[in-house]
Amino acid sequence: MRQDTSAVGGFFEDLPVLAFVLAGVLSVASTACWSAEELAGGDVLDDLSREAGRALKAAVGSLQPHPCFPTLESVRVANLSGISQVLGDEYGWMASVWSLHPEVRQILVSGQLGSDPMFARSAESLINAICDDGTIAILEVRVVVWQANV
Amino acid sequence: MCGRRTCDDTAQLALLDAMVFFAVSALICSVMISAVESSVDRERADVPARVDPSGLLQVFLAASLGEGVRLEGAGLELTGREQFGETLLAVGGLVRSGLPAGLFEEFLSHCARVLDVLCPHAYAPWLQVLSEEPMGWALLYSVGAAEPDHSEAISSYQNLAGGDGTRMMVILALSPTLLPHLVQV
Repeated sequence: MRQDTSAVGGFFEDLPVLAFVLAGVLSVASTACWSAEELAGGDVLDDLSREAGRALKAAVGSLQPHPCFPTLESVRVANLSGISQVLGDEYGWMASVWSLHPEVRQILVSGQLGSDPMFARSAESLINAICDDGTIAILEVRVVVWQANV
Repeated sequence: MCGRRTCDDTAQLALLDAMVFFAVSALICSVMISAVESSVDRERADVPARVDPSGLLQVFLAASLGEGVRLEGAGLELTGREQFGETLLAVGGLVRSGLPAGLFEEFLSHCARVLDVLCPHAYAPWLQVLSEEPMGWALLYSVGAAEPDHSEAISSYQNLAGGDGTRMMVILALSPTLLPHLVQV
């Protein structure tokens, strides 16, 4: 820093300097905001993954209340409202049960769909079930969970 | 606005300072973006690790074949009501007694098809059946398109016991196929 009278002075001469400084500050600030949002989104997804795991456990518990295999008919008419009790009103969810073997078909779909999902996470598990003819099928239980108030 | 203009080298170059400030800002931004992107990529790469091969193997072994298989060479006819676990054990016993595993190709192909359906799409299944011999475990036969890369595969095993006292082990390995390459790119 020096103080003399030989510097180029004037309002218009300072405008480019101001533009560069403002551009630098704005770019750093906007990048910081974006980074914070991305990292916060990761935390939300971690929470949703944890809740999806809890919801899946509740769903499998409802479908398979006893240690032995459930029948396909009992799975078809199962009540999965226990998931709402586990998650509460804070989360929306949808659970589906598909038969993967011996044939691929939908068995059950249930959910609490009061809100639109923005961030969502899913969890899935395989269980066995006894078909009407006595053979043992393989079912996939999948639960999708999202934040209801986002 | 016509200020006094001089042309000498004693003025402070404020514009140059501002450009340096802007360049440093851009550098900081690029470092922040790359750090956050790599963090997000790591989270995405963790997703396949949640696959549970032990649950998949347990459910597979307990399931019925679902469709009848006639094994002409081995003189065996399966109705479709047999469970995969007991059938793998029976076939293992026949292979152990000297029959070539190729005679059971139709059954093994059926196993591979079912495992492909059960397996997450980013993984390729690989199933091996081993028998306990006096000198250790010996491979009887395997099911799957290709041997997995053991550095990235996740696996689980289950012991099976035959009625004649023979002990066998079924190993299921899930080898990542598509997703790791996408993450690496």
